[in-house]
Amino acid sequence: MRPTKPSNVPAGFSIGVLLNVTGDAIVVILEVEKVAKNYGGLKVLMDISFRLKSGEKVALIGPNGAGKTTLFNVLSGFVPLSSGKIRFLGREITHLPPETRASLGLARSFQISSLFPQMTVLNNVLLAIHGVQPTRYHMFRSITAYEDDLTRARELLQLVDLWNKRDSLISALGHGEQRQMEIILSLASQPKLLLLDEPSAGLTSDESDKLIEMIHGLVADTTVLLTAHDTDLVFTLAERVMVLYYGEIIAQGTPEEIQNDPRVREIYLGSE
Amino acid sequence: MVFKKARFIRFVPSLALLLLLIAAPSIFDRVFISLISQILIYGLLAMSLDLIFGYTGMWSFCHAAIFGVAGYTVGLLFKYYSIKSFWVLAPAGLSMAVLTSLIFGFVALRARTVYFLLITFALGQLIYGMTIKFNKITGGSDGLPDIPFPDLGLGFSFTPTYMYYFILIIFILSVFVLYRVIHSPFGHSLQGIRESENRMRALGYKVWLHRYIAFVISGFFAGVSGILYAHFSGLMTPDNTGFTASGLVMIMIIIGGSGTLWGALIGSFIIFVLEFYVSGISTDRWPIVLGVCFVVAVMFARRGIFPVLDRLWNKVMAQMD
Repeated sequence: MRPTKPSNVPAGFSIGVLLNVTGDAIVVILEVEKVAKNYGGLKVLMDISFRLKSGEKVALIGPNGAGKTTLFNVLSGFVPLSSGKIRFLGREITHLPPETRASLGLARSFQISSLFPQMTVLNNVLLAIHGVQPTRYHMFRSITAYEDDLTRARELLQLVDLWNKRDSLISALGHGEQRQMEIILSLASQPKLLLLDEPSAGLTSDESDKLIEMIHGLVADTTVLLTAHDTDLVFTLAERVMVLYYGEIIAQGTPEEIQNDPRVREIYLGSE
Repeated sequence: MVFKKARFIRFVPSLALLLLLIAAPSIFDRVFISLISQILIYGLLAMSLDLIFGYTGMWSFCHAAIFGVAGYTVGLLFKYYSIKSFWVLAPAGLSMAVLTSLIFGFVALRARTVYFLLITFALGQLIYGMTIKFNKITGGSDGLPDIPFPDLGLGFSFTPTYMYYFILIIFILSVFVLYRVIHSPFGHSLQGIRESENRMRALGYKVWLHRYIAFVISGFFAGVSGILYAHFSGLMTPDNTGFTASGLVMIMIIIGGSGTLWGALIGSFIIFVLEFYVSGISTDRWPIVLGVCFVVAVMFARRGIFPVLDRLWNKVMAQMD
């Protein structure tokens, strides 16, 4: 694409490419414009706007009920929004269903592990890999007969030391391992944008540290938006933090800026 | 080598069963062969239902109706157009079964779980109602009699033994296809839909389409078994298409073990063998025995009989190592 001067870029950024100060192209992966969600009279999200640039790791924090999960559901297409626009890789996805967003490269994990408990660990990963490929309609070859996909599943499972447990059912795994699988499944399709909803939910601090390390290694090239209660997770992984408070983004900045923001300290970190 | 041996041992029960089925006509008498034929036909029907019932979690209650559509198509074409060739009757029956599934699936897949069950129930009863109400054409509740054994156009006529082998071959081919489908990426996607629909959507699967395709494949094999039944029994009656028949097939799956494929065959075996012996003693008591059987199976083998047998066999294999 022909380089465009910053001044020429229209307000809507519809072309998806910006130039930073030094003139390098920055790809805007996700652009959220005035997104609102009401449940009847209850305004859960109020005119939220933000952008995610390629490769960025952004954390979304906020107290319970701030609308984090709703925002995730809106972004991934599970909940229709009331107004606003969402663009992904320059393409408007506001009204696309979740499966179409997934095939465009937008993956998500779930706060409450949402795996396939009666299937083996390996088949869980294979199913996730086939999800964005035409092979998902193949009916005559065994799911384990696709060499490339098997290799990829093996790589993914070795990262979390679960390759040896590939034939166990998910229901036989511990909670920590299930949380790891949750992330592995969302990564399996090699997404361009990964939405991680409370990846460390319900983990002990040890398990959580392990998980942070794992995510750190896995998502180097992926754009990530994550929500978390766990401040460790936020401050180790995120380059930028956005604070969601009753449906509005009230502050954003680097982790340090957010830690020192008096409003954020008051409402989120608490005035201990 | 060890791995291969273990795999071979795993298939010993299926192999033994296959040999038994092949040798059956020289071991058992004619009545028993006819019983086995019925077990295979209904076993195939139950297995095809298991694809959507056990694997996908769609509680379809119109399976016997699709079976009936195929059977009646064969019977009606024979009666009114004197078409005898199997190569015309079977494709016609299958096309009708697939067409019915395409329409029923399209209507019913708007709903989930119990509502899906209710809609498929109503659709199934529609077919049942048609077989009774159009009695000038279908013979009403007396049924459509005198459907002959299939004519393959190969210059020999079928004896009951040939019919048995014919059923066995089609049964094996169908089960082979169903088995492959279940172990394919598509088959796993169905289990995925059963276990976590939202995750499947988040992974990029068009859940509706997968359900629809599964419903139609299942209907296709219901059609196969319907055609076999029409030729085998020579008689199609409304009772073959109604909800009692659909329910019976569902009970076969639940007793045998849903989502296991083989469980459906075991269920069919248990129900027909019990019916055969109990009806010999007292026809009226059969529903009571069936009820007791169902309760006992659900109490002592909650996931069905096949998983129990499977666990036993795994223990035996472990002992042998």
